[in-house]
Amino acid sequence: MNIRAVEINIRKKSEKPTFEASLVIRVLSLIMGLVFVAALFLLQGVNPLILYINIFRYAFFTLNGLAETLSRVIPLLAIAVGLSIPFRARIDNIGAEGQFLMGAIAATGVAFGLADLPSILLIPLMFVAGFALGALWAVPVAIFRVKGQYKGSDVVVSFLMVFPAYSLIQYLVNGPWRDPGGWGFPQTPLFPENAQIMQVPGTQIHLSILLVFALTFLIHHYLVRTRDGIPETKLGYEINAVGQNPAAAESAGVSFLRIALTAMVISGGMAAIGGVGEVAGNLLRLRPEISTNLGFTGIVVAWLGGLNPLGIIVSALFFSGLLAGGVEIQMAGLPVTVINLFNGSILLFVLLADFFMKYRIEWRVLR
Amino acid sequence: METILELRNMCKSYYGDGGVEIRANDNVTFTLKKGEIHALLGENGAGKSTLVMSLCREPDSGTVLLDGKEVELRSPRDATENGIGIAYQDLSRSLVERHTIAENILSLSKGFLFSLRSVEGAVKKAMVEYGFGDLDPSMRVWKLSGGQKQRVEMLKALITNPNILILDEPTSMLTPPEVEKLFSLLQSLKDKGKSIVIITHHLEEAINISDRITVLRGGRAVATLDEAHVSELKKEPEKGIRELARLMVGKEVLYELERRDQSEGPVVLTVQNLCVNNDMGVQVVNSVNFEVRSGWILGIAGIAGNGQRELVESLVHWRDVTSGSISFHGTDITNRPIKEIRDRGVSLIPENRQRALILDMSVRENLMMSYYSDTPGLFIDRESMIQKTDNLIKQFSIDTPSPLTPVRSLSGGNRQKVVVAREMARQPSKGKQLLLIAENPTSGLDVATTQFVRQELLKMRAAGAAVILVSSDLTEIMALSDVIAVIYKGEMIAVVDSSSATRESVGLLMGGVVSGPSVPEGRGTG
Repeated sequence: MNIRAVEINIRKKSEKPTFEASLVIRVLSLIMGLVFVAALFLLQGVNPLILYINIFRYAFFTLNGLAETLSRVIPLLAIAVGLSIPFRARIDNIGAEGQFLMGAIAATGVAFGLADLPSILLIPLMFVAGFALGALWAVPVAIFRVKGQYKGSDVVVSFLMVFPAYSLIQYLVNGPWRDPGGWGFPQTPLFPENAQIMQVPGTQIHLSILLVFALTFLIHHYLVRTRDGIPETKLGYEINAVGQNPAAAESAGVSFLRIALTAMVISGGMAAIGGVGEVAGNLLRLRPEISTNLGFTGIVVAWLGGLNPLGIIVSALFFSGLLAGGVEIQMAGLPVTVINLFNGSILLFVLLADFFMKYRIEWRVLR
Repeated sequence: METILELRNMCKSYYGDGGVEIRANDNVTFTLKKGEIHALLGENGAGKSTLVMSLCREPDSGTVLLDGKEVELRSPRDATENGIGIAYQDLSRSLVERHTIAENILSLSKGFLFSLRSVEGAVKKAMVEYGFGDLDPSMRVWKLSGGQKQRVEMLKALITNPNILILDEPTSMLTPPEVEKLFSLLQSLKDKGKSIVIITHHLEEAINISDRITVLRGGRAVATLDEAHVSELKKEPEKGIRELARLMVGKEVLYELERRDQSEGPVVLTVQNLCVNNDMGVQVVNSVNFEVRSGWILGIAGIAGNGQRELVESLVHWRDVTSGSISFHGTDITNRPIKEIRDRGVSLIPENRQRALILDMSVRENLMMSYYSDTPGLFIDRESMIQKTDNLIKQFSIDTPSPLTPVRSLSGGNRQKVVVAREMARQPSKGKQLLLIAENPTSGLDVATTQFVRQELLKMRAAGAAVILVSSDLTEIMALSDVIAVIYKGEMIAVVDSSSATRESVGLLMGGVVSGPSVPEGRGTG
């Protein structure tokens, strides 16, 4: 007896979707995520349509809201653009949170350790140190991914390395770096003036925004953009090759280890730059509360942006708008953590859409 | 003779890349008479396998008549229960590698209570009966050679004692002596009144073994040659092969390849005492020595699974050399980084196309894989890459809508052309010759592309490159090589000059038969 009623085949599509098609699919998947969360809002007796309108009006059409959106986009963009590089090389770095925190730690260390330096030297030094420590924190992921010969090891290692980073912050702000005049709060003293990154007056938009956008465009130009089907640099080509078929790329002489290391250094470094900006431009002191899971939100942002830096700018703006509009969620009587609902459900739909862009499901009913 | 099996108006379509309907079988009608051996001939993709698969799965339309009665065969089990034994072509899908031979055959048995011991006993008995005595039922399948696996698959079909036996490309991995043995087995089965369908694209085999031949082309049955016609072909095999080839491809194929005599050049590659392990850590290349000269084709003949793949992979360091040395133009390249070896001028057309191509990348990106890093610095020289890839597409007549089309949407032949173009057009540094290693470069290709690839290999030879051709196709080896090395169980058991070698002598060597200490010197054309 044949127990199968339907025959299902999953086939890889031969054509890549056009730019327009993938844009439409991404927007649709985003809308599906929003509709899904809307259903949950409805169950809580909140009108989702009004709430959504309020969130977006606040985040993009009020001065305060827009300023907040822009200040939140800085770390998110840095993290997500960084993440897109290993993702393109099929390395699953889900530990950007840890790399982000290490950046903040390095910046704090330099800010207090070399406090006599003038701003013009001190701040770049903080970024360099942050980049280095973040990259260092990311390197084991590459090694485990390549040498481990096991496709999940990158996920496990990168995720687990978040916790030591977080614990290190806890230790530092409760121990050696604790603010003596802070009534025992677990935090460092305020950064010395020359270690603070300048803000646009009246807002929390610090000047790291220029650096982050510049790096975004650089990464797009040199690693991602293709003309006549050819990227600008060898590295960009190799990252694509490794991501599409690591065995073939290695057979052609591309060292997967070298590409993985480079990709993770960029990724960890970018996340750490976000951390430096956040601690030196926004919080102005190191506190455990610096960790707001931006490193995880960045994963969604990177995928929603199609792993393309230009797309990621749009998706990062969208998500930082959501974060900024969180006030409205609270005003509607729901906890702020509801925002995590957006992350999860939108990622789910984006990944589903990604699957359907690459594969086709064929099915037929068997008689 | 009465008809035992009839397939009427069979249709089966697939939906290929981009939703293109591929009619693998388009109204094919096929009859099998009782007690005959019927060969199904056709190129790759002609629909041979699809046709016989209709006996174990549902076609889109068409009827199957067994002894004149209409039957519905929806699964391999239905086929077995109706007395049809099928040996499938794709062994990776029909045999469980991790299981033993007996366990693989056990999957055919019915009921819940069984003893592995009794199955092993039955298997042993069947093996002796059918002349497969050298196989041990408790051996794990992954340890077997390709030819042995093929015989296990055949045993699976035979053990149910079917009236109709279907063999899908049963000889592709067998040695010539094994093929002989198989054919005499088939003959004896036929004498017992069994009906046999044998699928092949070996024209000679088809003529030798069968009573009738049906030729498929592009999903249609283009001709069925009756007994009288086939026995006529048997008298003049040369003419027969030509006639069948014409039917198969629809046009006369040039089977002759011109290999001009040329003087041999300097030594390009020297391999000494090379030992290599396989993935399981078992040494499968044992102390191999050979050299390749410029303007030479060294044919490495051997049945698949005798260490050829590991040997080839160690030459470009896809796999570590455990001991021994490889030197290229006098420089030691043993276990050097892949990139360094390639940059020195070693090219490889691997059999495993997964490792040769990145299917989701464009034709251009795949072609430039060997060239993008020729210029120093971090940047790619875009203009020269565009020019290079456009030239290669033209020069090797790769049929692609655009250089930016993903390789995935090309046909198998065109995909291979991409690899061939990329690997053959590489330029080693001045005064040195390219070493081109081609591992079964024509397996699974249609006649036209096969011919194309072989001609390109000869062009490389004429241009002074050193070529290593690893192939399990004896015809290919005989037609192309200057020197033939035979590999058997990881050892080069003989190196013979191709002008003095015969099919028979090389065939015997491939089966591990070395007659006497010296290399057999047969006279013949090959």
